[in-house]
Amino acid sequence: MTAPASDDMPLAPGRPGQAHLVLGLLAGAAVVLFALPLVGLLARVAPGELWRQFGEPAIQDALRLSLEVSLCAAALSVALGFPLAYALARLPFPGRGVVRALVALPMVLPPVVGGAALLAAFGRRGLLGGFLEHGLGVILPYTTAGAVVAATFVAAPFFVTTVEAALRGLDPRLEQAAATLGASRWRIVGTVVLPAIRPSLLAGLALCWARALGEFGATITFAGNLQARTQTMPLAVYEALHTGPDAAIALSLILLAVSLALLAALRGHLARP
Amino acid sequence: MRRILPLLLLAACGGSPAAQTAARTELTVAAAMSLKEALLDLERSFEKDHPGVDVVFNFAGSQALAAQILEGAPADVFASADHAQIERAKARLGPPRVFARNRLVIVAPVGDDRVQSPADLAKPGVRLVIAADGVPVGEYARAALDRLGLREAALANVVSREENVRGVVGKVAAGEADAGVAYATDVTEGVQDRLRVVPFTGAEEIVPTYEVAAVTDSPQPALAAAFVDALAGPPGAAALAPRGFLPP
Repeated sequence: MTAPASDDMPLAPGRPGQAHLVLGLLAGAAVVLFALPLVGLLARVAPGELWRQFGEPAIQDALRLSLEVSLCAAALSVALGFPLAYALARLPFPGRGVVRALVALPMVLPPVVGGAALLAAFGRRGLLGGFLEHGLGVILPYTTAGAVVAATFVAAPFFVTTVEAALRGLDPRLEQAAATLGASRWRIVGTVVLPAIRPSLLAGLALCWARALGEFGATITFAGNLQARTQTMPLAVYEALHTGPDAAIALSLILLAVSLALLAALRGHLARP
Repeated sequence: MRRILPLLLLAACGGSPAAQTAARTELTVAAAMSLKEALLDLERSFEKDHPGVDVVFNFAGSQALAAQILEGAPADVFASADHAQIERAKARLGPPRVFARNRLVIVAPVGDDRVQSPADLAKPGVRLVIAADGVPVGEYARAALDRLGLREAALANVVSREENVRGVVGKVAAGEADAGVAYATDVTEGVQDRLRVVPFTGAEEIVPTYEVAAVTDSPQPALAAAFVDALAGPPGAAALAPRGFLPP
């Protein structure tokens, strides 16, 4: 991440003329596209109503559940994703390119397709579903555990790809030097690798958590929609839009605030590598 | 080519439909999901009787449609699966007319015998799917369970609350739930091989009732009124009866 000298480098000298006007107008249209929905959301809020909405059990359940599900998904993403990122970056195994593509796929796959695929794999009539239900007594569809699986499926790739890129950018001689000094693999990872890629770990974690928090398509498809069990905030927003728009606005504002806070935190981290 | 490509893209994004359908009038009908097949049948006869008219449908749960209409979504006619959603959107609606009734049934996957009667919905461990609050089929289902004294126990078995009746039927047909509550008319060709229908014995007095109303600020009030008349009249009956709907 070699930062440019300045954020606002002046354009090359020349006649600005029409080109600048057109660019400026289109850029302005883009800003309106991004800004206006936020203004609209804020304009809809009646402050007194907002506080009343926070007291609603359905909203409190959605908040609590969203935190639980997204944090579990982030933890699972780290627990499974770091070894995967490490293997992809450091272990030359056959089919590495295929695995890399497989990991990236959920980032571009429509989430609802991810949900359908999860059903085909872990649903009660899916590939593994029968074994899970009758062998282990675990049912994933329409359970909180299923919501965690759905969120992990779509969010973990953000952690894996960010961390893998950082690992690949890390000079392997650092690790070799540590090895010649007699450090074990575990010790090298703990004392050399992890501290060196700390900013990327945090950025990957933040992206992964944000994606898990916002997950909708795979969750409603694979985990269904039940208050306090699988109805996370985005699902609650969707349902509330049809029945009680004030609740939808209140929930949307919470998610908006979280997203802004995350963006601010990420900027702070990315600004000083 | 490089120069005209952006223009082609722009043309593809918008603009062109207006040019194509300049001679056609579009009539937008927001309709309850359960009416889908019947209304697509009605579309054919209505368009034959009204040359130059193109009926376009927005099928969704009636509660979602009422919300959209209240938000100002363009619509000329609203056909709801219950009176409550017509009442909710009444600020934009003309007088409603009842045009059909339905029957509430329990659907279960073929090969899953856990649910054989309404009472089984309350058995511990049964995985039940019903529609969410406000969704007409969900409201009818809760009223029916209430009537049988099963409400609390059955609702404790609910594993997912769907946004429309086809969501309920789809999840049951996929075998992900042991039972769901839907309309008799939702056991359509696409899913009938995978579903068992269990009569909702004891809940016969809960009669799902469909109402239709024209949107008052429709830009084509005469056409909207004509569609309401057709749906509530003989053409509607001819489309609804073969699909299993009951007369009003």
